[in-house]
Amino acid sequence: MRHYFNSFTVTGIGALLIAAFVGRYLTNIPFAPLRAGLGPAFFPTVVAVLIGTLGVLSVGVGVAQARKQPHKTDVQPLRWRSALLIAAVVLYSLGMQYVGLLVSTAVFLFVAMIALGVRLRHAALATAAASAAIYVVFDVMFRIRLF
Amino acid sequence: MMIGLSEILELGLPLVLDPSVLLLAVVGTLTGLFVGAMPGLSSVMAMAILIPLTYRMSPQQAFGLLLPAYAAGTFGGAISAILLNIPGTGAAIMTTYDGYPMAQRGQAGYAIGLSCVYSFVGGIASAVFLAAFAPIVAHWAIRLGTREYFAVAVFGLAVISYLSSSLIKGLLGGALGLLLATVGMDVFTGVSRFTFGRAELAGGLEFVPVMIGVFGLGEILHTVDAGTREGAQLPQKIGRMLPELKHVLRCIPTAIRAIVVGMFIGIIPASGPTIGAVASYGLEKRIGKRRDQMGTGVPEGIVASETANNAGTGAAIVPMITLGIPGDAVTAVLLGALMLHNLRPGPALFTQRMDVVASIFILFFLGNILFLVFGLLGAKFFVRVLKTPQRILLPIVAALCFIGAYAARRSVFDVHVLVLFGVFGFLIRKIGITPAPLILGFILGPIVESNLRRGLITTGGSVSAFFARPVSALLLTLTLVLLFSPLLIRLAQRLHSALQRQPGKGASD
Amino acid sequence: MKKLIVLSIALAVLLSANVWSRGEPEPEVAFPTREIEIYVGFAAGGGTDVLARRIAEGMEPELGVPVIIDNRPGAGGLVAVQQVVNARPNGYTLAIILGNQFLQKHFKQADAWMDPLTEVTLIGVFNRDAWGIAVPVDAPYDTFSEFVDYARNNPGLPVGSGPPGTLYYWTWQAVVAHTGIDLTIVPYEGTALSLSAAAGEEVVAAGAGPGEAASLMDAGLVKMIGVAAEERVSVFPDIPTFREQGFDIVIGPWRGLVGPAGLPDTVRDRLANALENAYNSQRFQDFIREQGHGPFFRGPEDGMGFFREEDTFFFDLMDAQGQAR
Repeated sequence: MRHYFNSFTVTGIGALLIAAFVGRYLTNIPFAPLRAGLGPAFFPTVVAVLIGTLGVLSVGVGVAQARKQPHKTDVQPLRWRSALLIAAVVLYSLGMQYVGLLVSTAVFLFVAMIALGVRLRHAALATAAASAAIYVVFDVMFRIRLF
Repeated sequence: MMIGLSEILELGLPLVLDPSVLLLAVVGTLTGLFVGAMPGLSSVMAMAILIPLTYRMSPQQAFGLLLPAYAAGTFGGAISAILLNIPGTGAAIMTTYDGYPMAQRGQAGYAIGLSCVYSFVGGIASAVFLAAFAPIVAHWAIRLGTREYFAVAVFGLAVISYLSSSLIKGLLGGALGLLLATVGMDVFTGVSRFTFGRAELAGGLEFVPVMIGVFGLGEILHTVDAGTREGAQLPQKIGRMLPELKHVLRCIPTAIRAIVVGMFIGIIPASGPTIGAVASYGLEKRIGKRRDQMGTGVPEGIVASETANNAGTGAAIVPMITLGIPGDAVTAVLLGALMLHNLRPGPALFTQRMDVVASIFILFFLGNILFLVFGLLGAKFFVRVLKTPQRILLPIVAALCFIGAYAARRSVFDVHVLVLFGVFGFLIRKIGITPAPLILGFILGPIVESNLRRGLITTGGSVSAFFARPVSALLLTLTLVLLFSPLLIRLAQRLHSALQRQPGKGASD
Repeated sequence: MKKLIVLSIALAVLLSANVWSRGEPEPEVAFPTREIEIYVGFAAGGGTDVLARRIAEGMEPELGVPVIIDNRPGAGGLVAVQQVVNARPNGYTLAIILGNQFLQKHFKQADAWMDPLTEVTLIGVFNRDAWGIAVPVDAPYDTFSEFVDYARNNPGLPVGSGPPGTLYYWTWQAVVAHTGIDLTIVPYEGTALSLSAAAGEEVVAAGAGPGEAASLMDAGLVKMIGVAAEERVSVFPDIPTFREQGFDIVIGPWRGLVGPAGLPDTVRDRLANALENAYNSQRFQDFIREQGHGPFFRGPEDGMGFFREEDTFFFDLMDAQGQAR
């Protein structure tokens, strides 16, 4: 199976999953006749069919490509640093309603910089400066209340 | 009905040449530049920030602050598009196509200088046009309706799919954008689609978190990922600041086309400057002198996008000031500013308060001059951003994206949306899907769907009625030509070459 | 090194000191002691935003603290109101409420809604606009009764409205219910769009307040054939009411100020007092008159009566269409 793993097959399978989800979701949503503007299900259905068709095409292209070059893939694997950063981002967004926007932003900045290999001292300084600047610009100058 | 230049100058200049108005114009310009250039803050945000300050001002002071901010904000979007590959505003999406490659080659300063000069050219052209023909144009524009809006949005979509380098992936990106646009309560029946019971989704996904998620956070994650793999760096070279005259002159034909396209599309109410920039870029790619190099970092690409989106700014003001119909979200705020000062847009404004109209024209003009000056002077400082080590810069840009998503409507929910789309934007980059078609599909989707359905309802289900009006017939015919002739050829070619090409090259960027 | 981490986090915490203030109980006496926020469910610069800012400005001198507007647009104003429903009932977090919230409560299709009768504390209703009908300037009817006759002879005429979750859609339904004419109601995303559709003769009429249609009336593109108000709008004395023309239709968008449910009476009355003073100020009265907004005021108690009337009105209207929850 491994050698079928390339960007077109992944794209195609992703597209088919999305199309399937949308198709299932839309079963409860009505259509209407042409003169009544076709109804709320019409447009998403057309888009889902389009996505599904493109998904099939994409899988086709991917399989053809894999047959030609079975041992190469053009999908870039996920690196641990990126995974770490994504985790930091997700934690940040989940945590912000409990600890507040400014605190979580500062923590995020610090963690992200450390993860990217900035020295502790520099990361702390940059975090403090950036947090202060964000607070001053948004909360004080623009009057967008951060919390 | 034309308004004389002498009348404008006579009535408007004394009001505008007030030190407080000039000072506010500078403040507005700087705010517009700053907010436009910040990934995560749009020019709508600049307006929202500034409008509360105008409540106790005179109309001249209020417009002295707001109009330069509008003009500068539209240009400012180009700065982060060029430096970071993150468009500061929706209208700057096409600027990333050539601006970022130029920056990567060490021509960031040149690219910013060029977009500044041609944003100015586009803005001034539309200001002159606005002053000369506002009422005539507005009365023409008001006759346009559902079918024209539908046609212009479909045309925009066709151009975008035409621009995609991998047809399948480009179309898929666009289709996903269209799908995302259907989230929310259906305008026609009130049926909820994909809202999962959340009030925050009833009005649809917010534009800002989706755009800066896919473009901003997605790009940051992508850069980090690429950086840890190949040791790739953001461009560190800055290059010369001011574009050489001969390069500027070389782009004049492009600019003329962009002005025509940007104004024509900008004047259609509800289209906004984004479609104008897309259409102009598409035109350049089709008939421009360097059409084959578009997307690799050629000045014509930047000029096509930036001239057109700024040419749209003046055009969007026309229906607002003459008929009280805002052309986009920013002009809707300007309309609110007029109302706040008990000024009612429309012909009465032109007869009874010509002083206000004249000062609006002059201030819009002044705003364009100011951002030219500050943009060129400041280019040096903007590009210095790239001197900041990437490891420090990227987390800060990410934090700005978070704050921007929150700030648009003070919503933690929107930060979650941002993160979701940031991760999504990162993943689609891994499989070679670019964000631009997705975001344009998202912008244009509601226009296409609503106006298609509305057109069918108002014409009793007649499809041919969409071809019965000149503007929509023209745009739809262009769409069909664009879609079918080259697309079928390309489809055949691509299927053919995809079967023969080596994997690894098959994924286009 | 660890010290630096602690230091930087401590600094960030200090910057957001207001986070912790949320946890403290509010003292019963001495209200208000800090700034009051009013959430507005529409973007800055819109009609509701401008009205809210004018009223907030008028409340400041009485309360002695800043009253600031915080725009949280979404779902026809629901997002802002819902955030206040979930806020602490201390009087520092308020929202602007509209008739839309009653519509959403009863509308079968809406899947996000709240009940304004129980989930908020009403401070007061401070404005009610007239809804009216704008038609292309060369339409073959000049009054609402002529329009009704014309529509009887030409069933299915397209008219421009707002989306079904909004007031401007149900105003047309009220017209249909009252007159029995057959119209094709065409929803538009906003009044500006439906008005320009009327000006461009895409629809035969659009629902709009006279203030909203004023620019296009000046431009000679539309005319108004009637307003659904109790009496004529003072800046547009030439537009007759529907009542004068023999149709008892009174309907229009209104704006009220609410806090979370369970607001202490002392706090509520203090705010209501400030609201009433702001409403009665010359500056606010001049503003609403010049902008074509309608004068209307109900305090906390008679406001609840008004709320109940609206609630019943919208329920009956939707129920008759089979659209009520």
